[in-house]
Amino acid sequence: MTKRLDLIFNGKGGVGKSFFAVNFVQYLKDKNIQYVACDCDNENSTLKRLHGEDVKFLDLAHPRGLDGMIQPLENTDLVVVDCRAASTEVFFNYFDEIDLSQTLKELSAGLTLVMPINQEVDSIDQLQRITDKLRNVCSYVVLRNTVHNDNFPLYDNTVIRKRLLKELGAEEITMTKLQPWLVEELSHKNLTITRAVADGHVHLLDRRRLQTWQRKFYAQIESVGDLLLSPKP
Amino acid sequence: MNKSAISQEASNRFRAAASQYTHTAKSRASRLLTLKDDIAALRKRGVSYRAISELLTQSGIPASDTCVTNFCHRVLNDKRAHKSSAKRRVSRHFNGDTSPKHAPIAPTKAPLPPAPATTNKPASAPTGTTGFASRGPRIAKVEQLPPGETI
Repeated sequence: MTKRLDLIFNGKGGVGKSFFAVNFVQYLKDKNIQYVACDCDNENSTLKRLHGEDVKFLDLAHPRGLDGMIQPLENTDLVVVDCRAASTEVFFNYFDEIDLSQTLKELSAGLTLVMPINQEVDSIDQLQRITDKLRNVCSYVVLRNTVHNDNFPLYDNTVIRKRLLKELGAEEITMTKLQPWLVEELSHKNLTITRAVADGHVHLLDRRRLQTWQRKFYAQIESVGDLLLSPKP
Repeated sequence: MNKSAISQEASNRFRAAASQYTHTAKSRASRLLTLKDDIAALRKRGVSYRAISELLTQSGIPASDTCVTNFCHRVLNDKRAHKSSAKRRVSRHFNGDTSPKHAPIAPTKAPLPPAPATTNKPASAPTGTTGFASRGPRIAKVEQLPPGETI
């Protein structure tokens, strides 16, 4: 397997899909890793807003819309897709339509689903739904988004977590909380952390906060690099 | 004379009971009337009376499937209960069967046709063939490990 398709996927809204996507794409830029990034959220195209022309928009309403995430794998080793909320069924139908596992095999590509969760039961329920459908067709990374709380008592003792970790080889990573005023400022000014720090848009202490957060985030990405990044030649 | 004689007391009891019965039925109907459009939409999608009854009950509106059936017949003029399965089958056929009639398989090495260039195009409401099939609600339910079992 020489290529990788990363879908940032959870049908529940507000779990941190786009926030992760924005920072993951920034990681790829900062590390000079070649990639194609796609945003298929037609309501809030956050990834496209923050990374502009570097990001392709995929129109889920178009019957060929999702072809735009598969086709780049013919020429690129890594494709990252920020999936919109409430699109689980759209993706499932598409996977059936193109016979996903056969397509991936022919492209020598692996699929990884990055599934952010928070403390809400709906976000965890999505894990069940997704794994019931895709089983071992893909790899799984569960992203524990601690923006509301560091603990996940509801998720920690679930059957689905056991299945993910013991049967499906899933990995878990954590996305720590970024102070809300920093999130607001970055969003307001359309800045990624790297740009905010480099351009001196924010105060020294806030730059330190951003860099600390980013360092931790990048360490988490690298801890599951074998699942998220295409293998080095 | 004896045959037609009904005591005043018995008449009163019946009238009271009848009055009570009418009141209850009206109350139930009134309650569902506020959800008339939602129930009609569910019926249009082929959702069964029983499923609607369960949805109502889960939402804190106790209503038996008979109650829903009667409501649909009387208020929505719904007479299609026995056809819904067939309708669903037809609907499934047209909505879900995307191959092979509509999407012929390309030769292995043939280049894929270009995906739509949508980089800056504003999106319309997603109603295309790729999804958003009409379905009922999904109520999240997470299964916990048995007590004492750990990961």
